[in-house]
Amino acid sequence: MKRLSLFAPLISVFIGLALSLLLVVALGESPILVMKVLANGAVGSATSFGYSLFYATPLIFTGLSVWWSLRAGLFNIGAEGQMTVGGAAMAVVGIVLSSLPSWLAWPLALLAGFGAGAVWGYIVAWFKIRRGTHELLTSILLNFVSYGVAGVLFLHVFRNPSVQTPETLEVRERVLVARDERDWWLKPVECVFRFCSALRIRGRRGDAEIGFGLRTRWVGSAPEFARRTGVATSRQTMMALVISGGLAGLAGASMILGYAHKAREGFSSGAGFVGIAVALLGGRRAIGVLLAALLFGALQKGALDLDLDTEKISRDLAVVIQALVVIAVATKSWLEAKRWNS
Amino acid sequence: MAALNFRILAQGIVVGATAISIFSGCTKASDSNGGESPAAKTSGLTIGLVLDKGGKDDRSFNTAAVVGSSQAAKEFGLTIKDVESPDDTAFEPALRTFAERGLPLVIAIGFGQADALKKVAPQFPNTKFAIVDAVVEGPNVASLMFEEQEGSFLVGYLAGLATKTNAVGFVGGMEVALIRRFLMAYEAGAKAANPKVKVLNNFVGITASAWANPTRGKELALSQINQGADVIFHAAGASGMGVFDAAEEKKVYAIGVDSNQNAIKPGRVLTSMLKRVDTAVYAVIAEVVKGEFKPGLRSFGLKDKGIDYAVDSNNEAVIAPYKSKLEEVRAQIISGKIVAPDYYKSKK
Amino acid sequence: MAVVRFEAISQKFGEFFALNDVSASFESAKIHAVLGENGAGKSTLMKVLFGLQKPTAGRIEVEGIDRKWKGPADAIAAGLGMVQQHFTLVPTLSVIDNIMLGAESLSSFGRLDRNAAIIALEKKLPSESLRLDWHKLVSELSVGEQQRVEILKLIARDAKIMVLDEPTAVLTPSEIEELFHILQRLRDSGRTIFVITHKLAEVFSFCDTWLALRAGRVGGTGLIEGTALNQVVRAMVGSDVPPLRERAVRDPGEVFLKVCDVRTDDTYGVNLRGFNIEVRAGEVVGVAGVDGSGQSELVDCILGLRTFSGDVSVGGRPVRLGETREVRDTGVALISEDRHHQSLWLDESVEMNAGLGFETSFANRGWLNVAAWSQTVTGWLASFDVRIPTMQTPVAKLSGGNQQKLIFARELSGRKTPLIICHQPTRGVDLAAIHSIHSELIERRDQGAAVLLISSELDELLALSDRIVAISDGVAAGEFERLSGTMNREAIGRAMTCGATT
Repeated sequence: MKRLSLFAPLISVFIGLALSLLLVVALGESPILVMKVLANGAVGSATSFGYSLFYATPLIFTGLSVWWSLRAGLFNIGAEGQMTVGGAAMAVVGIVLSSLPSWLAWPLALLAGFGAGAVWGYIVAWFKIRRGTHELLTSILLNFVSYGVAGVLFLHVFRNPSVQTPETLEVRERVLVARDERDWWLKPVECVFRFCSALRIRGRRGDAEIGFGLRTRWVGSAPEFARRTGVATSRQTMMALVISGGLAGLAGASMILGYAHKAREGFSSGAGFVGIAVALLGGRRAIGVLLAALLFGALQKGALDLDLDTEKISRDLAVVIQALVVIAVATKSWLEAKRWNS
Repeated sequence: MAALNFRILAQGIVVGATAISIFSGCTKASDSNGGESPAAKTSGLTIGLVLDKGGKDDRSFNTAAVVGSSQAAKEFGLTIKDVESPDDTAFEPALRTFAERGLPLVIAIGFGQADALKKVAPQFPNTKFAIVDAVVEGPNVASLMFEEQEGSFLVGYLAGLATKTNAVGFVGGMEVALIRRFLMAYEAGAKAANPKVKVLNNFVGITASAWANPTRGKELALSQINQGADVIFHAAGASGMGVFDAAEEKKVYAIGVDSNQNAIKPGRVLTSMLKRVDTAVYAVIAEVVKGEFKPGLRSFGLKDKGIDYAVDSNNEAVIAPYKSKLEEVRAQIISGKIVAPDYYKSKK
Repeated sequence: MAVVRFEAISQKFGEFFALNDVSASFESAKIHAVLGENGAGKSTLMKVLFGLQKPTAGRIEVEGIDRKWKGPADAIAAGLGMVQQHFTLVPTLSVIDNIMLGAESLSSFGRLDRNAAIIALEKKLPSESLRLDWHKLVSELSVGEQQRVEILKLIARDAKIMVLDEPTAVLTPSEIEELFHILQRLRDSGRTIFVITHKLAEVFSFCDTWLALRAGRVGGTGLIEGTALNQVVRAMVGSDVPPLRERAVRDPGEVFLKVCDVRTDDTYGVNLRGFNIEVRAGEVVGVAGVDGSGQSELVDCILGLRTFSGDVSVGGRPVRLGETREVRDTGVALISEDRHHQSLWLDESVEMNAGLGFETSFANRGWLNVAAWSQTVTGWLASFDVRIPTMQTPVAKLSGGNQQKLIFARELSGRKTPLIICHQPTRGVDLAAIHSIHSELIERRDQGAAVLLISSELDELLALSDRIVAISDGVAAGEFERLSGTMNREAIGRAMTCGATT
């Protein structure tokens, strides 16, 4: 039970940030100003911080989704599509189930989101187990299917005819996770913290975990060993992808049930892909993924102000920083792997 | 070791993807904020511009907004700050940030920002807002709408005059009410000029990607040409580039939209229906500078040249035979003698 | 006259001495055995000789000249050559192309002149027995023939000093014999041969001198003639290995594992083609065969990991595909062939590895009880004398012997195990650990366990088995019994290479 502190990811973050600031200098802008703008935009006021959390929330879910699949030795890169169908399912439940009481309606909507993502994960698992198709392939290709399915729902079945944008009707009020303007971001974040602590492992050294989680990692890291010991590896694979898909399916919750109150075409806006970066930065622990998501969310929010407050730097700097951080993480594990092999 | 290699593969893919985004990020970072005007004399006022997802270099809608605001900036000595929105979720914080800084006027470009503006505008009663292409109610919001049906009727009339085959085409981008509005008036215009004319129409798609699919645009145009169409009007954003290609290939005429697109295929573009977002943006800025801002619905049409058709050296020759007739129709629309059918109103 | 001399060679990796003050000299035109356990430094010493490693201290002398290799290229130019344990051949090229690869002297005007190369090579052959079909693809050759291509490469490059790293690990007994005959021819033609090995039987049959390394130091050296086996073992291990525990005389009990007419049908790889074997309680049944004759497939079938036709039953219960858990729960201890992948989770801790497979017994409503886990497996490891720094050490950091002992501890402690399946239980394991593993197996047999022992080491099988079944290309090619006296090396070797002769 190898111990990995938060130290290593932090170094990656610093390296990524430092390189980005070098780029800023090369473009003739003051790095201090850029950092100030970023920090102020991300956490400068309660509203800014709220937005940072808002941006982080879907990343937490997609990050955990990819993270969970990586634990099982799988690489689910279809979080984007799973998030899309999950969001569509939540919206549909939110629109259709208008008569249910609130305490039943919004958990049902969340369940539907999880379920739809899980079905997507199940399809990936089915192809992997039955046909041997690599999950990289199926999960990314299913993204396009999900756009199609969601498109039909958004544009034909539940389309709001009175607006120009391709979006659904409004979700019924009683299905909303948060009704008050001021706490729409709090609820999802709270849910996520609860979820993470459920995954977290208590015990003597903080290393205990649930047997199911252990077997997931076991099948992921030493599949032959697990198989020969009698672990039903295909079932573990299936469960891992179903859970991974389900987590991604929940990623749209804050957007649809918390904020926009409707599903819009393209509402996922890349959160599924950023989730991959979040998972890689987050490392072995769920708490790491959480922090990575918060960091990336804050970056996204902070960078919005770069357009306004600097001469030469645009909000795309956020993407550059994220990319460099991930490259730093990858370089580090590549070096480790190299050392390990030699 | 298999698991380890696998992780490396995974990371390799992500690194590849992120490396690409770095390079694209760099280029954007380097040419950002060119829209900020070097004001000769600063009156101290700063105007905020929140652009739609296409970005300021879309050579159409957003570019027009930047051009209009820059012109106003030059004339009145203002500073313009603009923000591009990566996605739907960025509209609200962008509008809010501008408002929080006490800017006198914040302009939202595109109907996609309507929801965000509805939330933000009431919270900042001292800031004035304007939105293009959507109606948002509020004592501090001006909604800048265009009478697209007037221009569409006019170019439809032109198409009806110009066709030799009694068939004209229309290629729309995303199938939304706005584009239906173009189509309805275009059809009426063509029929008014030539009662025998057949109007073919197709839409590229039903999602936002329909604005950026020139291949499909060309395919649809070619199919219409095969069915006999010899003049094709597009309202399909970047997908319209395919329509121009098809027109050049098959030696038929195309009609451009929004900006002046005559120069794209000189001689094959009959004209372009202009939707002067720049005029509208300029006008609302001018009002604020002069302290004459009026909230509510503002329509731009043929009368105030908010809607127009383009004539320049690229299409002078081809449009010459129809010019006088067109001017006549334009005058009749302005005077109300001819009423172009409006899809928005017909629906209600 | 000494052709190779090492003088006070030391090789340090960090704080660790892989070689510590090694001095030795070797005469020309002899076969020298370089002996030692895993990690004793024998491979390092040969790497130093071949320029693959620069020694931290000391001198190498080859043919009387002081040498400071910059890299293997220098050593090759000076007439050295090495055959690695893993061949470096291109399977899709012919024998002659492989031999010509990288030997520029054989090509003229940038064009590959195969005929000239063949003529040149044939002139250099010390013996006709080295001849191969030059135009055959390497992929169509047997393992023994592939090894011969590697040796031919050295001959083509005029190597006068040849180093072979564990050359017999992959060979059948008859191939081993053939190899040493070739080596003897090469020696007789004046070449000096170094053989890195740990198989003492071969050393005593074919080699001229021996050098044993122990923990980086010279443990002993001398001529084979006039040296007793015990002396060499002591030089390698540092002490006498006690004799193996006497097996109790007992009648075997009920048939516990029954494999009847099992066939597999795989497009790739080896198939079982009607294999039969029975293992009774209280006996060790050995399966002798060259690697890749169907042994892995047999284990997979018994574990229900592979589709097959025919009948397999464990403890009277028929085995069906996918019921691995059920098979293991009838009490099957499994020592898999590929320790690193099939028996361990390398980057996890010793503690974790020692308990995996029994996690449900440490769980309370799904949550693992770490304290109970830790306490239990500590006891298991202690009773099997597994030496570990801490319970949290990654299992990858243990030596091969300790890893294997940990696996034995886990497999034999967690439940009653009436059947023990051992596949290559002592591969890459030091002599002391081999001894304790062998003793453990005999003891378990005496206590009534059925043991299926699959090994490519005939010595191991002969020492432990009550019966031996030879396997050749997926069929049982003969059965040999200890009691009836049919268990002899030559007959088994013939059966496993030539197939069923009876």
